[in-house]
Amino acid sequence: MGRPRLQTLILEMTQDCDHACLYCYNPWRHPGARPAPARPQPDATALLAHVLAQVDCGHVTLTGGEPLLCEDLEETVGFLARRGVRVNVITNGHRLTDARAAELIQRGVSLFAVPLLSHRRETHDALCGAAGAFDAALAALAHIRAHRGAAAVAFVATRLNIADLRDTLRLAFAFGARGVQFNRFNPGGRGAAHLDLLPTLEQVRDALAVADALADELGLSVAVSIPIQPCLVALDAYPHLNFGFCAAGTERAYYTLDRAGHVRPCNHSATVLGNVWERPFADIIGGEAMAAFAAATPAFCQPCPLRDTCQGGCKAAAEVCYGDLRAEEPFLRANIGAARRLP
Amino acid sequence: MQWNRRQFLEGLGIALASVVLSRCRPPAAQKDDWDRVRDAWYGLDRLAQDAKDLDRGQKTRDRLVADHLAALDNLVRAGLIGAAQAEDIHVAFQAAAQHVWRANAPITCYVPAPYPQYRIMGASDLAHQADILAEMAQRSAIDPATVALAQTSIQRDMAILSLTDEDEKALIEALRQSAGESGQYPPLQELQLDIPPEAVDAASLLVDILLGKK
Repeated sequence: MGRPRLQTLILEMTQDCDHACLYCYNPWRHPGARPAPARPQPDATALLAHVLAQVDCGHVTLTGGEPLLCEDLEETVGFLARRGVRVNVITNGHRLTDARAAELIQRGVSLFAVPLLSHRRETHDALCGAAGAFDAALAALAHIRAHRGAAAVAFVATRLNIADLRDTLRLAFAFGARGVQFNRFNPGGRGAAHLDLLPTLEQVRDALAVADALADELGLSVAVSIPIQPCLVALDAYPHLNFGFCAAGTERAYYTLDRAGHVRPCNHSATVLGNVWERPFADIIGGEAMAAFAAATPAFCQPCPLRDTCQGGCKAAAEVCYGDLRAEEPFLRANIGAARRLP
Repeated sequence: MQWNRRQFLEGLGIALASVVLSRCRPPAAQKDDWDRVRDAWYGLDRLAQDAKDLDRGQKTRDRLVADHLAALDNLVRAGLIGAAQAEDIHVAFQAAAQHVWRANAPITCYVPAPYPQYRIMGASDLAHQADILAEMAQRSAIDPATVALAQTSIQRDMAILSLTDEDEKALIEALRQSAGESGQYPPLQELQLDIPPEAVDAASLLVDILLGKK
């Protein structure tokens, strides 16, 4: 296998976080997860230099945990920008002060992704498990815009906040968000203990209609990145939304690194494919474990003509919640009785 | 709210893009540079499709903008339209192309997103933002300092949108001189500019081109 071409890589700068989100998908928050890498944290720039020399990739997303807890975040951003790599930072915004926003934008962050879960402070804070989270997220968005940076807002749709979508998206627009991720709750990590937060199918359909109308009205780019199964929801009813499906095994895959060099198929998955300090990256993603991950679909989906596209939804969620990549993931399992047969 | 030349032309471009995307195309005429201008506008339909893929969308957008400009240059060289009129029409097309691309590009937090141009929002978007911000600030009891910061950014963006190219160059020079070696730039003042009659003429000509009257 030659030098793999990838659209993006994800680096988890730290497993630490100052929030305790009920919907958190970080696999190390799941009971029985593997232990955190040893401290002090290995050098992020050395890791990135090692990996980027092995792949053709012009984009890196820095996430966590909460990446702003890392003192070397700015240095890492600058390192990537000097190599011509575009950098996104996923942050809860709590530590994105005016000075830090200015510094990160100046160093080369092209997009910040900040969660905005409700227009109501109490709902946002409850979902984040952190007092002051709502005010911090809005302040972060204001700082980013003041320094001419770009931000996208992530709305994780749970039973607690899905009814707030309309006003939350309007609030995001008012604060200058350039795009929105509408992610229906995808249990994993700590979220696996909160399956009761899964929105109903009707709630998701209604929310998609709201998002579709606002995307048109406000000119917002709305991405529905967590897969929604076409057998449950007729996706063509929402022409202004961009629906995504699992990209595992393709150029669009979200291969995820931790600072110790472990590679996973995506940031939702707990499967460790290998370590870049022990094996070449191409061998790791070209191995049997990755092939098995990419090929896994639930038995329920075998007759479906869209099986290869939809893949049954998020197999990482099935793996984390039920211990089996081929299980029906929680959203499909909860609504399997409503699935329609596709032509 | 008072619109200036750039706001007017950008708004016109976006409105015409909506008409073009509804496939209201006049019958084909013989191929000349007027047709090439029209082709660029009707190419927005393809841009809407290509934009689903970031790479392809950006290439299509850039090619359409280049084709549009080349056709206008030919019309200017042939003495069929004035250079200033061509420039105004191109402002409208650039705004239309950017609007169509942005509305269809799959920008998420993971998919590589190009660094957004700071001026891609039109004046009407900013006014709408300001209105919603005022409403939501009250309803969500947002920290007044945060609201004030967001308002300042919107006002700054409106001021920037109000600038013509000449205004912008003059402003940058004035700011440079004012900052000197200190690097401390003064705040921007919102400029009040009227829509000049030549911008209205350019808009009228553009509509005629798209209607096949040219």
